[in-house]
Amino acid sequence: MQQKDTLRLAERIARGEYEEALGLEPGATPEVVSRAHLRLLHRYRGHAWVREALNRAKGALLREGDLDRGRRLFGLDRVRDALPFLEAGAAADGTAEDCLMLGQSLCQAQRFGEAAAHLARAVARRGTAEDHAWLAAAYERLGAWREAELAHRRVVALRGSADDFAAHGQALMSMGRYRSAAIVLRHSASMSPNGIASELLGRCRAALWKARLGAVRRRCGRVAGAVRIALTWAILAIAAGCLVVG
Amino acid sequence: MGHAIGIDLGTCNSAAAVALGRNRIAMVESRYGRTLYGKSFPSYVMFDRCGRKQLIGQRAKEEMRLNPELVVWGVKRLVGLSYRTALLSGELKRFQYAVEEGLGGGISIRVGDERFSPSHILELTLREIKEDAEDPRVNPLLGGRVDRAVISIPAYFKAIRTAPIVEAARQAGFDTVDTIAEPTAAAIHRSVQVDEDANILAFDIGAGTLDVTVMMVVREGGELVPGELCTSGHEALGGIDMDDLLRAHVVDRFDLRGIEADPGAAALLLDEVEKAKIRLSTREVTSLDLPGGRSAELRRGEMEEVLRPLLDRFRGPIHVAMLESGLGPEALDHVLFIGGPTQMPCVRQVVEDEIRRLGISPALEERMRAPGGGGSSSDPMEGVARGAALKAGNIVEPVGKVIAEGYGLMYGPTPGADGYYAPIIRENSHYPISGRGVAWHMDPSALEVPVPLVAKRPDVDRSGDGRIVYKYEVLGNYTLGITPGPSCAAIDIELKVTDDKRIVARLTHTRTGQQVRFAGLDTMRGEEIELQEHTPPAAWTEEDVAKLNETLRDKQGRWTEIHLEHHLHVARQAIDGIADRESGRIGPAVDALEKAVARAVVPGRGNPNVDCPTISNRTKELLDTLRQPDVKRLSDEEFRGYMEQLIRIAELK
Repeated sequence: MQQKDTLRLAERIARGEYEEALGLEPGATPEVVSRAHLRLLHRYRGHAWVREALNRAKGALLREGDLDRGRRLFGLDRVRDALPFLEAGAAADGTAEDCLMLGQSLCQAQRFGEAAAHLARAVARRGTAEDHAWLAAAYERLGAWREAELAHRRVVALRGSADDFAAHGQALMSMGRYRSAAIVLRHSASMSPNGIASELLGRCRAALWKARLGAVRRRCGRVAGAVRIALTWAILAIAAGCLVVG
Repeated sequence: MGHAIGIDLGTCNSAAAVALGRNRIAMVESRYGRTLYGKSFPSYVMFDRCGRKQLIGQRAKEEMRLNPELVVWGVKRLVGLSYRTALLSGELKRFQYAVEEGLGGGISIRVGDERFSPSHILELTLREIKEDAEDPRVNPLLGGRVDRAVISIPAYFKAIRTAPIVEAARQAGFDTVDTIAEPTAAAIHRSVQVDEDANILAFDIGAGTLDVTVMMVVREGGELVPGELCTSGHEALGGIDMDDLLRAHVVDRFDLRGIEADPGAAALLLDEVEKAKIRLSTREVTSLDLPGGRSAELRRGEMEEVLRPLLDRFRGPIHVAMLESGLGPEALDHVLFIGGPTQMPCVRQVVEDEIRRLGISPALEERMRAPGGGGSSSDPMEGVARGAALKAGNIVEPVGKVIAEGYGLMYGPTPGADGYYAPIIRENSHYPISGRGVAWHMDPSALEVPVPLVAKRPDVDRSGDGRIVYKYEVLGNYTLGITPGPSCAAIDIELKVTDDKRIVARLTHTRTGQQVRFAGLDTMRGEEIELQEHTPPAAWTEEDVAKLNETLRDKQGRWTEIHLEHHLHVARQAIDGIADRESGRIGPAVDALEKAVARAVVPGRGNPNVDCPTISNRTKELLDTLRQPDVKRLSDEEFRGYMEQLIRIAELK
C-alpha cells in the first residue's frame, strides 16, 4: 500500500499535478504549501527520491507565477482551474500562446465575447491557423457570421486541412450561402471522403434544394397573384361593360 | 552502543549536550567548568614552540596574553577556505599565529616546525569534548563511551566547508557523525518547548558567522516535524568582527597605535575589549584596563555608535530570509535569538526593529515586549547544543533542508555585453533536488566543450526595501571531451544537490552520448561576476548548422589526430598533478593510469577509433574526486575501479 502510494505520488509530480500530490487547492498560500510539503517529507523521509520529487513540486508551486501556473494547469486539461491564473497573467505580459490558451479557456467557460478579444490578440501577435480557427469559433458563438467566415477563410489559406474546409463550409451554411458552402464542402469531402464534410455536404444539398423549392414556390406564388389580379380586373371590366350596355 | 551527543562547535566557544529524554537534556560539562561566555569549551588550542599540543580550551585561551602566536583559535572562519580566498577577504590579519598556503591551495597553520590544517585544530577541540563527556567524574550522568555526534554547522556553510568538520569529528573518534544547521538546532529545541505548530525566525550570530533562518514546525501523527523554509546570512560576520571594530576604536581613542608591535599587548587588549563588550550588555558603563597600567571608561552608547555599520548589516539577511520564505511577516510566531552577541541590547534592537518594519502580528509584538524579548525562552548560549542533542538522540528529526544558493548556466559574457544566467536549480530550494538545462556548443571542430556553471545567491548587503539583489559566482568552467564533427549539438546538463549538500553535475553530449560527471562543484569556486537573468540567446538554426557542416566536412580527417594528442596531453598532465600531491597513497593507481594512457597512445596513432574523449572525461572525473575534501575516504577499491575503467577504455580498438 505504502509503495503504491509512493509511486502514485511520484507519478503525479512527474505529470506536473503538484496540487494533487500535495493535497492542495490551486492557489494555496505559500504557508499552506510549506506545511503540506513538510508533512509529506516527514511521511516519506525514508525515500530519498520521493523527497526529491516533493522538493521539486514545492519549488514549482512557490516560484511559478500566475502565468506559469495557468499554463501548467491548462496543460493538465484543468481548464476551469487554469482560467483565473491565465486571466491574471496573460492580460499583462502573455505571449500569443498564452492569449490562445486564455481564449480557449474563456470559450469553455462560455465567455465568448472576452474570448474573442484575447483570440484576436493572439491573431494579431502570431496569427497561426489555430489562432484563427479559435477566433472563428468564438465569433460563430457570438453570431458574428461575417467575421467568423473571414477567420475561417484565413484558416483555410494557412493550413487548408479537410476539417478546415469543412468548418468554413459550415460557417457559410450558417450564413445561408449554400452554393458557396457546397463548393467548399465538396472540396473537403474530396480530401477526406469519410470526414464530416460528406455529411455536411448532404445537409447542404438538401438545404440548397429546399431553398430552390422555396424560390420556385415564391415565383409560382407571384405568378398566381398576378393571374388573380388580372382575372379580378377582367371580371370588373366585364361587369362594368354589362352595366354600360344595360 | 554508546551515547550520542549534540555539539555546538563555535568559532571561539563550543558547547555540547546529551538528550536523555524529550525534556531532559543535560549539558556536557568541562573539567575546567564554564567560561564567562556561558559555554564550556573555548575553541582554543595552544602548542609549544616545537608544534606539540600543550593546552586546549580555557587554559589555552588564558595563554593568549603571553604567547599569542602559539594559540590557535577561530579556525571555523578558515575551515574549507582556500588560502587565496582567506587572504583576499582579509581574514588572516586578525590571527597572530602563522597561516600559510598549504597543499592544493588550502590553508595551513604553522606553529613552530609543525603545520596543521584547520580541520586538525577542530579535531583537537572535538576530542577534548569527547574525552570530558566520557569522563564519569566530570559528567556523571553520562559516564560511558560517546560514539555518535551531531555537530552544528552554520546554515550558510557550503558542503566544501562542512566536509572538513565532519572529517575532524571522525578523526576525533566519533563513529557516526551527522550535522545540523545551527539555527535549525535552536529552533528544534524551541519547538519542543512550545510543542505546537509554529513559524519561527531564528537569528543566530556567533563569534564568526551570522545565519537567519525561517523555520516551520508542524505536528504530524503526534510528532513534531521542524523544517527550514529558507536561510540567509554572512559566512564571515560575527562577534569577533565586533571585537575588531571596538579594538580599533579603543586604539584610536586612547592613542595606542604602537600596540600592534607587541603581540602580547594586542592580544591582551582584544581580550579586554571582548570582556567589556559582554559587560556592556547588562551595564551602561564599564572600565577598560589598558596597556601600561592605564584605565579608561567605555559607555554602551559609545560602543553602539562604533558598532552601528556592522549592526546595519544584520538587516539584509533578515529582509532576504523573510522575502524568500514566502511567509508574510504576520505569519511569524516566534523570533529566536541565538549566540552570545544577541545578549547585547543593541543587537536585539536592530533585529526587532527590522522585523517590526516588515509588519508583524500583534501576538508576536506582545511576545517581543515581554521580559526576555522575542518570545525566546531558549538559552541563546545553549539552545544550539540542546537542539543538536535532540537530533542526536533521535527525539526530533528535522526534515526540510534548504540551500541558500541557486545554480545555473552562464552564457557569454561577450565583448561589450554582460553574460546571461539561465537557472537550473533555484536559490533557497529544498534539497535533495535536481534540475536540467541545455547548452549549445557552436563549434563542431572543438575537442572539448566548456560549460560554465554559476552559483547565484542574494547579496544581503545590497538587498532591502522589498527587493533582493543577487550576486553571481563562477563555480568553474567544466569541460566535456567530445569527438569533433560532423555537426553542432546540444549538451544536456543535469545538476543535483545531494542529501549532503554537494553539487553534482553530469554533462552529456546529445550527439555522441559522451558524458562526464563532476562530484563536487564547490571545489572550483572563482570570482564574482555580473550577469543578467535573461532568456539565453537563441540557439543556431538548422540552416546555420547545415551550412557550417558543409564547410567543415572536408576537415574531418585531421581532427581525429589532433583530438587524440590533446586528450592524451590532458591525461598526462592529470597524472603528473596527482603524483605530486598524493603519490604515497595512490602510487599504484597512478601507475595503472599511466599504463592505460600508454596503451591508448600506440593504437591511437594508427587507429582513430580509440575513444579519447572518454579517457579525457574519466580523467577529469578522477581529478574532481581527488579535489573533494573527503578524498581520504576514497577507498583503494574505488580507485582501482577508476583505473580499470581507464584501462578498458584505452584497450578499445
